[in-house]
Amino acid sequence: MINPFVYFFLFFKASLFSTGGFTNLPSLRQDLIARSWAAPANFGEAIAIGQISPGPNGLWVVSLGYFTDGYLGALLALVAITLPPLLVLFIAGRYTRIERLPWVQGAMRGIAHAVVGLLITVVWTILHQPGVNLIGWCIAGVACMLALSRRINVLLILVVAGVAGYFIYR
Amino acid sequence: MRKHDSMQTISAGATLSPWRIFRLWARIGLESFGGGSATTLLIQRIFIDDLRLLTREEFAQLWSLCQLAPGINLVAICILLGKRFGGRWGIGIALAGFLLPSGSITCLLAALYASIARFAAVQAVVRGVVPATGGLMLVVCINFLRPLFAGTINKRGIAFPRILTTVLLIALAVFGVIALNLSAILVVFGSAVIGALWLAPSAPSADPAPQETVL
Repeated sequence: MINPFVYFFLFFKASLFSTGGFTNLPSLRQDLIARSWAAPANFGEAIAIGQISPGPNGLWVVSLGYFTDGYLGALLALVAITLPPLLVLFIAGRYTRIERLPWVQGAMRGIAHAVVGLLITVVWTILHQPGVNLIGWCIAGVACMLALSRRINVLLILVVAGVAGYFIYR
Repeated sequence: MRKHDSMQTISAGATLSPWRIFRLWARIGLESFGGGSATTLLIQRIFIDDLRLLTREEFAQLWSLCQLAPGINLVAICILLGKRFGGRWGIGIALAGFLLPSGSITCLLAALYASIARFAAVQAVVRGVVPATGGLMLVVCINFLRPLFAGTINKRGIAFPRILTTVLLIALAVFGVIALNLSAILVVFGSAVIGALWLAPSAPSADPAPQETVL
């Protein structure tokens, strides 16, 4: 029997001590499997749903919530990942008071570089998943070019990629 | 998107109606199939290119703040933009528009997936979509790179030291995460320290961005 309060706390804690949509995974995996509230396969399935569903990738935890505790679990997971990012208001409020300081401007420049680096690692991670071969890299390249052209809707690009995947890999 | 929306330029103090905020974020949440890359790209297109409510530099600054916040960065940027264009209520409305429709569909997809995941056709479609999300994330990277390289090539020549610094810092972040398996939070704060020590201007900025441009 899953205790909804503990269940919510585990999702909240994992999100509070993470950054981005996926770094809460290790904590959730450890806590939920230790309580037998989730099976290891649930995590891979939930991430797959997160890749093809609308909205941020971090909504993969909604899928995990559904797989582990049904619709209540999905709702609790959604609320749990919504609350921690509210701290950005506190951070932004303090930042506006000190933004003139040279070291703050330098720090923000440094972070801007880190952001690009982290995005590159995400691209690397996505393109090094099992099942992404040379054809997958070509699909990525075409998707990138189409998006850069700004002439094609992002959703349409993904639909075309899905259709291509169907005919190539089925 | 209505034509006149894409043509006008709105000042830094502009606000949006609650219904407009909800519709914008619902659209972002529902149209951004493919995860974070598609979502970030859509936010950039809507707020920077279509509505012209933000510059790329402002967006990059807000996005940098989101890297300091815990949890999903896209939720944090939703909160910041919700507050900027709708005040406190704008935060709740933006979050509701962004997460409730897309979260509901995600939940329903999870239920559907559980019943059809065994079919080879479904697995084939996923194998096509996943690398495409990587390509979209690359576009987001390029969009964030542009401000960093702005002004490095001009009539006076090419600013090689600045280009090298940029490339080196980005490479350090990539190396730290991929090769050293450092946590993303550690890399962000490490880069902040390096930036504070190395990239700080010699004098305080005389014309900093006004407070309204941040929130």
